[in-house]
Amino acid sequence: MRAKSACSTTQSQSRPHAGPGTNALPACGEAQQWSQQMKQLRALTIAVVVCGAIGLSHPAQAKDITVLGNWSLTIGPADLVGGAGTNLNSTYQSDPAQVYVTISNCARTTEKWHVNVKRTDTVWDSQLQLWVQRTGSGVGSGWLWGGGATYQQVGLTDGYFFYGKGDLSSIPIQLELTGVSVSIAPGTYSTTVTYTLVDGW
Amino acid sequence: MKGLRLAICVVFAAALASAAMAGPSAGHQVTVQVNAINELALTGGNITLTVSTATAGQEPDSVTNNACSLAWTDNQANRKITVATNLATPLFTLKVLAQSVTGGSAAPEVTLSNTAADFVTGVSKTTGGCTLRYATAATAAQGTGTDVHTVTYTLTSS
Repeated sequence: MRAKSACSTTQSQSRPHAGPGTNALPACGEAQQWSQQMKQLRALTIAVVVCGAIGLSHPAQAKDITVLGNWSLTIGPADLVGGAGTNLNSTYQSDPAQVYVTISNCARTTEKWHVNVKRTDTVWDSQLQLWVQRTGSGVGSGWLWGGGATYQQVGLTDGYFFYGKGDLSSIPIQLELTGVSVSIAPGTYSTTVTYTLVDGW
Repeated sequence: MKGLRLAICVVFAAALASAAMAGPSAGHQVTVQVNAINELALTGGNITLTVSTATAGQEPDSVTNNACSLAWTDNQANRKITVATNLATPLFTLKVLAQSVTGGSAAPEVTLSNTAADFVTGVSKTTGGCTLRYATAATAAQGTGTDVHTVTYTLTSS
């Protein structure tokens, strides 16, 4: 309704030399077009603001997680508990800092996050169980608030591992393998352990 | 106008979708290599069986020995243990039997020769063990003498 009333006003002001009647419709059309453009601009502005707000409320898009290290383990006759006639040691642990996890690009030091962990098997024996624990808190401007200080099993779906705020680098991770026995056939078993950075605690 | 609305909807949906997506992730490999394990151990050391007694009117008494035992660990399927002696032509008969077997099945008593014979079968991804019962006998007609055997047990594919 505002566009229509503006049309009559704009017609006389912006087109002072136009003949009566002949230019009335085009002038009004331009005004309507201008009005529509304004509407579109306003809608677009709202959309941008909303999208920006969504983006600000989910700043995890800027955060990043990196992992350094792998764990390779060879099990053979030397791992028998007591030589021939005995079984293999069932549990194996990696170095306390076998893998390092780094959280970076947090917007601020108070930005909360947590890390989930899961595994994706390439070739795996169902008797084997993989565990992870955090053996340190890393370094940096952030804080490692808690979680993951004792071994927890790594499953095929995400499990809550540890949580903190801001940037932290070199968070040491130790891995443990259990369930080893001679009933597992010789071969190479591998899985990928994935750490996912998630907003909030 | 419709186009703009559509564009706005697309931008809005994309923003929502990106907000709902899982965060960044990174991973590492865990690799476990299990080597073949075929371990066999004999305990009890060297033994001597001496035929030295007899009942008048009968053949000399046979002699047995249960001092030795065998233990094994194998993480492969379809395995067995065979036994053989290095002595091609012994003067006297020497037999061996697996007793109290775990992790496999005892074969019938074996008369030792230098051809490998099944001793324990059905060994498959397991630990096991048994007692070795050696038995020897000599007839009066065989006279006296000494056989020295080196007995070899082998864990192998069945």
